Amino acid sequence: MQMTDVVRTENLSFRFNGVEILSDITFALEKGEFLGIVGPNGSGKTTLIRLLLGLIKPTRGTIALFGRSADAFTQWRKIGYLPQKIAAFNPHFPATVEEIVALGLLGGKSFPRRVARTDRRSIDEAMALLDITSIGNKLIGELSGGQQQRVLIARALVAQPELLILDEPTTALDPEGRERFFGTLRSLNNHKAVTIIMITHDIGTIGQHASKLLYLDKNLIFFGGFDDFCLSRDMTDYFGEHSQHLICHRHNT
Amino acid sequence: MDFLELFSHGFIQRALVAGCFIAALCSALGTFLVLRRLSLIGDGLAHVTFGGVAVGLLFQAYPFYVAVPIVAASALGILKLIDKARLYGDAAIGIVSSLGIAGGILIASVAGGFNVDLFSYLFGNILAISYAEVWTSVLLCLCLIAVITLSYQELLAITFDEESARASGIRTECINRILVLLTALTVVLAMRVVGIMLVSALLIIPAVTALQFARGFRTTIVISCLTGVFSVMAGITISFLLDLPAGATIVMVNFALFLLSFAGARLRGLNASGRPPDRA
Repeated sequence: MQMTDVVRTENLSFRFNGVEILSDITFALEKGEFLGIVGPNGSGKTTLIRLLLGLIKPTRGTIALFGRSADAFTQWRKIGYLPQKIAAFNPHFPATVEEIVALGLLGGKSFPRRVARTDRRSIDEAMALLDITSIGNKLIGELSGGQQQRVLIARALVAQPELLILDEPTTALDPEGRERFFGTLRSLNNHKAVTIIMITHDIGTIGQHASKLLYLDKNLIFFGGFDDFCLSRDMTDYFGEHSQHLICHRHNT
Repeated sequence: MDFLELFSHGFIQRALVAGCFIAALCSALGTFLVLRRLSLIGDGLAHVTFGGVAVGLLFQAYPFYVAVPIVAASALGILKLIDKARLYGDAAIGIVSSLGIAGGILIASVAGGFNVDLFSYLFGNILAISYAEVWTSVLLCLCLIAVITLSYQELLAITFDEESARASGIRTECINRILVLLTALTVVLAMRVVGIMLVSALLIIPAVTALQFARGFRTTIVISCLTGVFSVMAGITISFLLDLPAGATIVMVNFALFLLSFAGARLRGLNASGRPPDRA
């Protein structure tokens, strides 16, 4: 039986203000794969995931999510999203940690969207997973950057998504928090077959966890498994010495 | 005058009823606007209201009914400018706001200059509130309560992080439109209470007062509404007893409450940790 791709793009292109941001990106991910997206600043990494999430429309090409065209896709509950550090994050925002985590459940609800008592367990589990149970009643603005990031990760995980899209998730985390975070991802990926797409500049770490790599620089420079990647010598221009580090520390997932 | 006798007058009763509902509307909407850094949309739409009132006076129509569609269209125009022209919110508000003022001045000039009517809209005349305005404020308040009750989670999601809200399938454009249309109607109503010049105070100050000490999103909205309503009641009463302009007195009461809450929050922070609260 053929497995349906979780994500499939065909000749995906995006142009803004006359500038080609992405050009002819074609790739597909199956259930349970872990994709690391890397590339220099301005290479279109965040644009690619914004296209996948339907936040912007492609100029050309197609996107399919869970076998359905992105235009017709409605099962947003299946996707957990962690944006890059929220640009306009208001340090005085009056919502509590619990209120923020609960927002991750809205994708699976229809109007009027309400967080029900039966959702309590999911919220508690997500908070326990990220070790933020003790700060559940604190205001989000009272937390450190690392704690805020854990709250947002819990929001992305609370609905138990089948596809997790993460945009530079570890930037605000300390080494211990980062290790714990990757442990959580590994568990989700290995035991629950959650498909993960993660943008990162942390080349050294992504090699330990991702099963596939997508290297982007407006065009798709490389997409494939790490074994193929290791044989590609073109990457050393961008990765430099990290290329070796990445290969040396790779895990087999 | 006997203090209780004050409340026996029909025009005071109308002023208090409409004022309280309008204050609740402004305060609830203001919470969303302040947190989304769109605080000045009230100011911008108030300026457009000036243009709308001038059009009404020019054609000798009731300015309220003329201003409503003009301000509503302008509110949607601001959203379009932000979305399609990719302008920052403050820049979009600035454009529409100056257009409203410029239009108002030109029309007033064509009509033969400013007159007393126009000034009563600029600085408010809460004692001249009509029954129609009282009922409109009550109906609008009920609409807002319905919107907040039914879309509370969506509103919280959008206010906190609009992009993630859209990514979870929430129709953010639709909710944004409803929010700015309600704001537009509220601003037009509020011009009677505090005047075009001071309308943004009713939207902003109760919300920032609540933000000093509220814990939780729902609590913030409730405290903001209570602050706004108390300011209007106290402001109208004080202004009548001391023969002061009602709009300006309401704003001053609002500001006094803000100062109190600000001082309270600082003291509480000092007591708890020995240093000012650090929420970064």
